[in-house]
Amino acid sequence: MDLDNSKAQMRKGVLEFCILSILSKGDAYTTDLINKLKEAKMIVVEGTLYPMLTRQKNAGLLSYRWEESPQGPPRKYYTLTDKGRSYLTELDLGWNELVDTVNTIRNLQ
Amino acid sequence: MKKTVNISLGGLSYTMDDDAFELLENYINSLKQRLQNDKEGKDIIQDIEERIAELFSEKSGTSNSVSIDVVKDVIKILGNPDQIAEGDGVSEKTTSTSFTNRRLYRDMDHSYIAGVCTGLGQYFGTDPVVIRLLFFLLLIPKGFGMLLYLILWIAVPRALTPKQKLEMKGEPINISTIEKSIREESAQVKDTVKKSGIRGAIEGIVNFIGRLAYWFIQFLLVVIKIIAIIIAIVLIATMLIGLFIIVNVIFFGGMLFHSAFPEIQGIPLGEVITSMFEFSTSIWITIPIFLVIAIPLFTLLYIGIRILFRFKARDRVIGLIAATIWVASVVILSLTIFYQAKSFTIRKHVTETVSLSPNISKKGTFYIKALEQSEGKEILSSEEIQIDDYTVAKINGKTHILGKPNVTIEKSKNEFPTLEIVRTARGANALTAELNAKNIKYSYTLKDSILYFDSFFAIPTGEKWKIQDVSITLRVPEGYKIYIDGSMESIMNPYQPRSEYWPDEMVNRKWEMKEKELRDLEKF
Repeated sequence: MDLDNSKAQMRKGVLEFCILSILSKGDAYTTDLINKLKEAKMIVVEGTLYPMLTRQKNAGLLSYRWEESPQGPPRKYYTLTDKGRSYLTELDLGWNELVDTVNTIRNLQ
Repeated sequence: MKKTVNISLGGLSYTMDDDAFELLENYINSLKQRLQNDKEGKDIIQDIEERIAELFSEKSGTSNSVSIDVVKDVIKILGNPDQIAEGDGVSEKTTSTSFTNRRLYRDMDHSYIAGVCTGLGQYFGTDPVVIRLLFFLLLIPKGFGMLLYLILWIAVPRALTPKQKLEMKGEPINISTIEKSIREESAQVKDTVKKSGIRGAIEGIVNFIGRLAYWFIQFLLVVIKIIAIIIAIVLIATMLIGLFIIVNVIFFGGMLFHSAFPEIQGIPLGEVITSMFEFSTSIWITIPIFLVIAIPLFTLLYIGIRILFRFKARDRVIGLIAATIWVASVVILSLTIFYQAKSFTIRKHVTETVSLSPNISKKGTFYIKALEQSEGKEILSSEEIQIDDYTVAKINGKTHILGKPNVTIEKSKNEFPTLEIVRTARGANALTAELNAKNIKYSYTLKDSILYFDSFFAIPTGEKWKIQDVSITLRVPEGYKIYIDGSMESIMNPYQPRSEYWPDEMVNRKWEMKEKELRDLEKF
């Protein structure tokens, strides 16, 4: 077993949840998302984010719009759809359940 | 100085160093390979490209020029294609298929001459020294190895880009290997700069030998080119001489030669043909003959000129036209030959018998002689052509066809000597055949006891050759004595009845007709 790999797998599992959570606080453009996730040490390499975003967008959880930026080309702003919001609520519940379960297991000893 | 590339990425333009661009291009290509090539994959690539552009702006600041280090940083930030694809999850099944098949390239980095041996070594995974040794051994049987080497040199491409170099080694193409390849290359460049001392000297010598071999091969190439040019010139010369000869023979009857070589005389082939065959003009036969021979000659000329000047031409059109004309000529020629053959279907002969009685008697000896004449007139021809037994001669500006009669001497059943002249000819039908036979002009003269034969019969001017023939039978009764003059030899039938003598044995002798055959009087 590889410790780094195990950690990466765990992060990967909740990345989807994290993206939706960030967006639930307000719209964000890609670089915002990246910076926030990086700060939180959720992602090591940026590249993994893009397939995830595209998949969520195609699933109808997200939508995006183009917005002019003060410098450089227009930016892609992501926003949560209604479907995305209810999906996030479900995930929130799921997360809480998971944390409870894990804690219960950890506290058994 | 560094080569740079201008690119547009995520709506912004950048100037990139050549190696940086190559690395980036390979990165994006391998991303495309990993991600499925559908709408989703394209979206992801677009997003990533935009991010790359943003990162470039951040990293390179105001200079707008992107170096390889910047690209490496960016790749580190974004992650390698495998990581990205794994994050996606969808493309997991395709991630492991990154091995590219080995391909044959010429390895210019480790080459002595053109990198053929090193390239083959890379391809077969063996030390190039082994391959070089093999080539050297192949040189022994008639330089086969040299030819093989040249062919491979021409056919196999050089490995220039890092991608090709990886393909050559059969390594998987991904960012880390390309990077490694680029790094190795720059290290090698530094290496060559640093080279000095004994090692440098040895490499210098090896390089020198390599150069020598290279120049030797260049020299060989020049020799090959010269040989090609010589072949071209020979082809052109052959064609021109051939054309000259056929034009001369067909249309001028060798007159051009005649001025140069007076001993060669001739009548134009066209004239010979028209005087012998059923054509009002000779063009139906001379022009097709000319074309049938000339077109292959022109082809030689054309090939020669093409080799010499290597111009671009519409070979197919020209070839098609030439082939069509050639085939048409052959068809015309065949048709004319067919019609010609048709006019030979029926054979007829006309017999004329005369008595020689008053002049020739039993008492004395009578003489037979032949005169080099036709219709009692001497032949004074300046130009003549012999075709089999016939002669086409120009007499007083007119073309005549002359033939040789043949004379047979046999025992007569009558009391008196007789002369039988049989004229034979062919024709399209019985009537024309008979007419053709009748029209043959042949004469003899009887003077005292001398019988003069013309050496030739003639086909009247304007009439064609129809295998006209004249056979003369001299019938001599028993007891008659005959002297055969030497001039008779050429017109004597070689197969005399009941005689074991050949014409050359019969001439210049006196003979007597015995009970069955002639007897040599001088012998007995």
